[in-house]
Amino acid sequence: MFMTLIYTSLLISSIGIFMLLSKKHILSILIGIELFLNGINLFFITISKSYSDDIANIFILFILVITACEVAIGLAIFLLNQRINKTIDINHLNRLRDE
Amino acid sequence: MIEILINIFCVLAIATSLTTCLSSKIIRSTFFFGITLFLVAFIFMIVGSNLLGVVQILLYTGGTLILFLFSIFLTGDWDYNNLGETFHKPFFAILISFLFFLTTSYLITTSETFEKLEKSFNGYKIFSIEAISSSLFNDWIFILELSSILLLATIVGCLTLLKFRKEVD
Repeated sequence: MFMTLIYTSLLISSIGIFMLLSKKHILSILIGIELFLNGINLFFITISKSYSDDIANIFILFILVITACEVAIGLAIFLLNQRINKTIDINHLNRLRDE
Repeated sequence: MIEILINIFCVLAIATSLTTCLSSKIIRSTFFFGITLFLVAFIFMIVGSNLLGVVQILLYTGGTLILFLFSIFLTGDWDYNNLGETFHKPFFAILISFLFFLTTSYLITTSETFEKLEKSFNGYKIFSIEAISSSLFNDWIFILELSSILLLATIVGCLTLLKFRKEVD
């Protein structure tokens, strides 16, 4: 059970890394980051079950807050990029600097 | 029974996260991503962390999925180059993610600490919500306040970003 959860978390994180590195759509990249962090959350909770400690729950709550903030800001930048540059390609984000 | 449930949910979570990655359309990808979040929340609940499972479903999954869906609806016609469908440098990405998986798996299987952790793993312990909230509002109150300030700064940041309009000459 322990190793199942650990390997599941690692696999989800690896898929997140793959998505983060291989896609150019900003939404796909954000989903990749979310998947990676979800895998890490699962890893934390599995480890905390061995220590019988509540601290991982608190860390995961903070991770969820930070992830929600990151998604909100990322999507705002995505919409701004689409509105100004008329593209959703992440390679054109640097054009926002000149505006 | 719990072990079988966890195995089923783990397999489903891996399958849906793979489908998220390989889906041809971004809307499908978002749909499967939502299912992955739900499955991870169910795993949290099964291993005894009910608070996290509920927070993940009610706040996190709901909030992020609505944000993603609104972004797709607002920019639905702009994916001219099918960026969500194609993979760029897939071999490099596979190599990096495979290396991450291999190194972490190797470190975990060879580590003595993880052997001890596996022996002391108690899958049936339920985390007390009272203890978590007590710890959160006593020991971690400063960090909690910081995260609330971060949320406030995010709201202001998003409003500032989206208020920007390009002036037409």
